[in-house]
Amino acid sequence: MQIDQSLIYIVILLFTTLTIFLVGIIFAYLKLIRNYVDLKEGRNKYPDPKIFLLRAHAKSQKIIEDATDKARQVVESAETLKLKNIEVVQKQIEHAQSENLKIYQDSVAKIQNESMKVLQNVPEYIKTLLTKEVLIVKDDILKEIKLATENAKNLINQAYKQAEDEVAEYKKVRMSALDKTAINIIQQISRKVLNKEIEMSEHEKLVIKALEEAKRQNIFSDEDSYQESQPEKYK
Amino acid sequence: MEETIYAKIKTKESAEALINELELVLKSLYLGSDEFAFTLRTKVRANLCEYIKTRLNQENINIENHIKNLIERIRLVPCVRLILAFEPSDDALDRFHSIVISACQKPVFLDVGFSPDIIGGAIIIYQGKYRDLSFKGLFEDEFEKEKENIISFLKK
Repeated sequence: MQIDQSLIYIVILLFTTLTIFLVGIIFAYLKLIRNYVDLKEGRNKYPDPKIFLLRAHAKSQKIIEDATDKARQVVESAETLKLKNIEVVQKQIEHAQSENLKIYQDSVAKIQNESMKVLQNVPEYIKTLLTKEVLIVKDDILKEIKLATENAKNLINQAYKQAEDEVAEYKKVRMSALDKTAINIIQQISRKVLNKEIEMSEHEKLVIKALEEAKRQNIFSDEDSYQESQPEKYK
Repeated sequence: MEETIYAKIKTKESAEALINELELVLKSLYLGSDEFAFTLRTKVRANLCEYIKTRLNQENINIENHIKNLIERIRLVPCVRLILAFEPSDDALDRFHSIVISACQKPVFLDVGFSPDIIGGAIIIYQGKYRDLSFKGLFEDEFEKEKENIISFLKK
């Protein structure tokens, strides 16, 4: 039962569609027929284009003629004006030329005069300027010379002082060395002289005295106690 | 008997000379009786020769061991170092030695050095103990005191 209903719907749909299609075809056919009948009877719904062309042509002819007249009038008036103005312009140009020439000549004369004045003043100006500059340079040079002299003087003084110090130090060292050497020589000579001056018997006595002193100080004892090992002056 | 030997040796040098003589005698012992007799007669001092002959005459003595022991004992004798300002005579050395022996109460040799710088007196060194009993220190002290005077004198 269910399927049958669907088929019915489909059939109804198809029928409706076919009906609409058929109606469309009929309208199209009727329109075609009407056009055919009109064509056959010679009826035309639109105006003739030739008429329009003729009307347009006549209008354009008229416009061209009017324009030509206007142009001729304008040209005529322009030529008249041209002739009048040319004379005026020529006069004005001539006048302007003469005025300009005069101004130019005056200017040249003025420039010439000024230039001459300037040229006449140039040496004096240069001289003044140079003198001023030379004085400035001279002052600068004098300052520099003074400064350099002072620097050189300071440097010389410093070097002289340093040299003096070094010489004094060297002198001190040398004198000290000389003193030391002299003392050593005297010491050596004194020793030799003394040594020679002491007789053998005196030497022996001195040694015996020293040995007895050592004995008194327990040098020859076998005690382990470490006794003073620094030199002890012989008295 | 050995004291007679020690009595003749006063300085380290004479002790070394005696050791050299004893070593010669010891060597000659291994070279035969002739060589031994020759060495005793010609190469050692008379007192040593006499000492060894006396020993040989004694019974039950091993002369080789005796000489070896003697060398060893001499080497063990301590020395007193004496630095002197002059070169002493034998007589002076005898006197110095006798003083040292009496002080030490045992055999001691003198090891004598010579240094004129010390002027007089002696520097004594014994078993690590040092005594400057010379004039050197005294002289240097006095010289140091007079140094300025000497310099000023030199500058005049």
